Amino acid sequence: MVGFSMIVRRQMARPSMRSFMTSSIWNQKSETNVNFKSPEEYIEQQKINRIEEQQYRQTLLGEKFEYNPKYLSETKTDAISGRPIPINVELLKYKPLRLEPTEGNEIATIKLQGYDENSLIRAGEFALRAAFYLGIPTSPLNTLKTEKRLYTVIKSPFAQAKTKQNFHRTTFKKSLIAYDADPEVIDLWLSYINKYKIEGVQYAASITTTETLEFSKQLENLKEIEFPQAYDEMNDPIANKVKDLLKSDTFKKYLNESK
Amino acid sequence: MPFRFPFRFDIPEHSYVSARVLRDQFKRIQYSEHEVTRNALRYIARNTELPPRARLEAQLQLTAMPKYTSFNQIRNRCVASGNSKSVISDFKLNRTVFRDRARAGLIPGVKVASW
Repeated sequence: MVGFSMIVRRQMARPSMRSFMTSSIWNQKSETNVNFKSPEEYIEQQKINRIEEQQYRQTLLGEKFEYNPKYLSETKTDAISGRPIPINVELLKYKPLRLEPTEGNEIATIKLQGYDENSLIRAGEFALRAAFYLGIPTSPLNTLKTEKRLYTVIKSPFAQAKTKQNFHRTTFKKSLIAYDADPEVIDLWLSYINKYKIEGVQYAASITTTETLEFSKQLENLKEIEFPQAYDEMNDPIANKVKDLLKSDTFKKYLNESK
Repeated sequence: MPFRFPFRFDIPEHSYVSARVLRDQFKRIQYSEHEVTRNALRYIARNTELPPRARLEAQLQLTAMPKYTSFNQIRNRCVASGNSKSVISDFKLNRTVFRDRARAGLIPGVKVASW
């Protein structure tokens, strides 16, 4: 990865870490390649879509669909539709709701980076709202230190080197912490965020997992490894090359000489 | 016409190509091929626990290797123009190309600064 590194936290009772990150800034996926289908594949896909659509319509017709949205204010109506605004739509106008942590154990940290602060806020608030509806207690969206990098170049292509022009790139950073949730819920949350990730925002998540107190005993019960043997299965190409060189005839005679 | 370089290699696809870019590309490829050997020889030459004659032999082999296999022959070049002077390493671009593109808004996040 270019320049950005993952956060590494160590805690005594929580020795293992998992982490993943998206890098949509650097590797924007080329949609042409992903969505390319041959004519036969396209026709088959269309058929499957049509069948799925029919099945969906039948299920809608089969059961009576009840629509009972909750409202914040039933008297206020939307100017265009003439209907009251559902509570979840209304809440988009406000800061995201949060659940207070019960234990205060940090389970996952999401770090957002990007050059546009508005899209960072959008991504962060989306994650916070998803966490609220999944029942994950979270911290508010914290702003980290913004990084400004200045580039000064000579303005003219040739000569007049005293005349310069300044450019700068601002990298905004936000973070949010999830507390006290089960690892399955955290996985669901993170995969949901990953599914609806925004282009131009770099997401990095570090997840802390718990182990039992007998973990150190488990380590002790592992098969004993002697120190010199530990190097035998090493896959370092340079070490292997050194070994080969020292075994070669040119070096062998010098090694034997000293003994 | 004979091939200009001692070994054949692929022309870089994603950058501007000129004779000097090709020369640099050749050195980069040769360095990556010989990196392991060079580091192994350097390890032997600098290891004080090995006998001096073995270390000297390693050093001689290292100096006998062609110059184009060493890292210090490689120079960063602009991807868009092939220029080697004042290349901004964050973008791999020369200052003039960088300025043109930044002013046109083609580089994400880069703006004209004024304070």
